[in-house]
Amino acid sequence: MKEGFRQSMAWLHTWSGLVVGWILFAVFVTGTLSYFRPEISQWTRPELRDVKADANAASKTIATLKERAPNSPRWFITLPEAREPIVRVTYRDPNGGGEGRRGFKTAWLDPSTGEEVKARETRGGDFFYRFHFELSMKPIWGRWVVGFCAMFMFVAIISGVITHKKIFKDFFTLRPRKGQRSWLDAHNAVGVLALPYHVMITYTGLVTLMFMYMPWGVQANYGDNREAFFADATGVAEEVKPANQPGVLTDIEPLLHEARTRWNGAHAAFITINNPSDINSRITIRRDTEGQLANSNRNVVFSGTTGEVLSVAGEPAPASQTRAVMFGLHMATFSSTTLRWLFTLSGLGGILMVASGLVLWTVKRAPERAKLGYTPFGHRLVEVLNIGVITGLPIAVAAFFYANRLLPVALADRPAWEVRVFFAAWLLSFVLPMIPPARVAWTTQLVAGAALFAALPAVNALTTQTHLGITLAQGNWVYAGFDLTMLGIAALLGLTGWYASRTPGSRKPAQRKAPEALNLPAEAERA
Amino acid sequence: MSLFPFALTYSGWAALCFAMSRHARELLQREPTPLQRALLRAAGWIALTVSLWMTAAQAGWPIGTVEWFGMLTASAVSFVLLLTYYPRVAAGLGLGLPICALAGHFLVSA
Repeated sequence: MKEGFRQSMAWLHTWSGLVVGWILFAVFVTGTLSYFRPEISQWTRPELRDVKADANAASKTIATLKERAPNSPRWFITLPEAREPIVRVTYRDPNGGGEGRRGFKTAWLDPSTGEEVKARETRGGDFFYRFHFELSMKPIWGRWVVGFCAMFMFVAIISGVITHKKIFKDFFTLRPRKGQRSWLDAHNAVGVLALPYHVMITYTGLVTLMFMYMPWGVQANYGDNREAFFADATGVAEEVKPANQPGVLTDIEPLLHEARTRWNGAHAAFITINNPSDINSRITIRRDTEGQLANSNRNVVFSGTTGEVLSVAGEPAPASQTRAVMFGLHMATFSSTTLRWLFTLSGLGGILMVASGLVLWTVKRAPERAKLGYTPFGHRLVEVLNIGVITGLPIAVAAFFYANRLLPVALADRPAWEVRVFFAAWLLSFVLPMIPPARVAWTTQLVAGAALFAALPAVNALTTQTHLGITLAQGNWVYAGFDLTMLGIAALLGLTGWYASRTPGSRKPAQRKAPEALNLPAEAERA
Repeated sequence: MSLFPFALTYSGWAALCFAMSRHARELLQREPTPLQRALLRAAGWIALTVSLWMTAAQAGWPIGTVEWFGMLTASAVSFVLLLTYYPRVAAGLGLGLPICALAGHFLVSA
């Protein structure tokens, strides 16, 4: 058995891609959605429509928190910004009465008044963000599974480049309506044309969780004291103990001004206040990431009572800075709207690359099925999983948004019900694919997905006051942009469904005569 | 990001593509001369380099480079799709896009 290097790489590419492909597809879809995490979080809370950013948001918020949670050990304040013009506060309820995790309570405040805005309970964009690296499993398990798949993704990218016979000669080549040839061309095109993105996103994705996947370096030097390591590496100050003497917080506005001067006018994004009612209070102000690749903690720490500057985090050390740049590249938090859409386009390239790769596996084996005269179980399994995952996930995403609009606002445990609807819709998407022929399932479910996304702005109009008629007139691009994007997704799915329906012939090779069977059946023709 | 560097990446891809004999034959129905191919190849690389330089000058090298890679992917995908279904349009835009971007730029600033 003497195989060439390239053949062995082709084998590696095929199987490393297939085994993790379905999870990678979901990771790519939810990851691409997460570029719009703030926008999704806004749209899923239509009650926040008219909230506007305000210059005095920080002091208004602190006044509210002093009333609501004076005894909380810590307040977290996310300041409003253009994409999410609202204040989000999270604090530990000292009475432990909070319904959230470990007694944490989260509330949304109007930046101009500091009053709480009651919005429906939902996980919004956070659901897709966390699914992207935890798959709705227990976080620790989900992160290991996604990391495992990302590693295979990296293997598939490298072996894919090696096994690609004419990467330069075929750079611009796309030959439609040629069956398997077309699938391979399309797979190569989305892979090669967005290759810098694929390599970057896979590698930096692994880096974001590297301390979990490879903890030994940190363990060797810090033992179990991970907090101390993160304090050293990322510049997040360790906690101070309260002195148990009452203290009064100084005015926040001069501190914000001071911090902004040190950052050459950049804005503050996040404020942490430790021991707010104690004489040992600390105010930490974090810079936003606009205009810089690195997603690092550029903090200024003030004494809460005197307003004295205690520490200023400058440029982190080179290794930390490298990690921060990779983190920033992966999250794309620095990007302008145009750049974010360029990232989204490349993310779409990744989605199509994984999907076309999965479909290629079955297309390539069509001659084998034709020769056998029946479809082996393995082929059938891959096909059902392909249809269920590739056409089912868009349906599930749409279902999540429908649940957000249609479930009663007062429903107990509402966020969990939205997630249940998401998974129920996805599971149902595996039923039709089990009934051959596959072409019918592909077409029906793609068209169903398109119809769901197309009707979403209409359902939004019937259930809320954040529909296009109002948001376009107001120039509220967060809400209007969401609805328009849904129409765009509907068009893409519809187009794909239309191509799928044009595929001639039946998928049942058993009914074909031998000479005919040599032509690639069904989905091979779809290009 | 402005439109001109993006248009340049598109023209760069187009020039590099038609420097390849297969694609040149498809478009012109004849083999390009070695000189034409060398010129096209040089023009392509110059266009891509200039667009990188312009993007970096505008947004700074760190973010400029990221933007440039994003533009490379976007323009290459549009070019390949056009080349497949409307090859003449794809070739024409290689010249047309930078001219339109420049004209637009001067109209806006005038």
